[in-house]
Amino acid sequence: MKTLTPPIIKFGIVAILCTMGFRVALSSLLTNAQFTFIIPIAVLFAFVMFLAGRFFGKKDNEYLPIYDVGFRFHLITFLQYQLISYAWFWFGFPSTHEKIGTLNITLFIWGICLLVHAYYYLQTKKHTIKRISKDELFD
Amino acid sequence: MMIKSFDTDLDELLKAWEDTYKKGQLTLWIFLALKEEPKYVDEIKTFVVEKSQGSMSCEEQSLYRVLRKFEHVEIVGHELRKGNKGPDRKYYFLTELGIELFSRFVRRNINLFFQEDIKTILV
Repeated sequence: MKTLTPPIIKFGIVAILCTMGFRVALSSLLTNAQFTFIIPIAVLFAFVMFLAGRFFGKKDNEYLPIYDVGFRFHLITFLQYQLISYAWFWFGFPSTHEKIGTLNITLFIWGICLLVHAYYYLQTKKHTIKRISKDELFD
Repeated sequence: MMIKSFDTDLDELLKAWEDTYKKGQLTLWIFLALKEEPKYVDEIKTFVVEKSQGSMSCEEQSLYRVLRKFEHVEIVGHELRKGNKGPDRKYYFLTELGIELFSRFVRRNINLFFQEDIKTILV
């Protein structure tokens, strides 16, 4: 059983690069007090992540139609974002305007959203055989 | 005029029935191909076209996708073998689960057509 498909691995790599780029850009902008660019850069980050998810999600479905209501993509996005963001703090890279509390709040709220998603993910299991939709397996 | 209309209707009806009928048939043909012996994708494709006398066809990409699904649920496996030239080829085979699945499917759905009374009707 293979759930780490090539498209999802590629998505993970793109997501890591985007998140690292976002953290660098965010900290640089804050350090240089260029606050007007903060929201646009966050929106751009979200938009690029959305496009990457959409692109690789389609590829993933073409490769192997794992029926997971997008949970694997969500989980990878969550894990890599949190790991990179906390690492960014632990290595002392953020600007003085960035607080670890903001990251903790993000972790908490996003974590709850992820748990809700996980609940729906587990609910879909009964319609599948090893995560392939029963309707799609022999079509 | 009547005969032409009859033929047109017949062709359209036959095509509509066959289109629906064939949708689920590829799985059976892939199982048949792999039951005979392990094969790589091109051989499976050739088997399907030849043995179905051209009534079934399949693109390589669709075959790969189907085989990936079957490998995922562990009814099909593959091993790498040397090709004549170029990279190693993936030879697909039915796993124990796949063989048992095929055997039960045939008993429940195909063997029915070999009953004497049904054969008489079919012929």
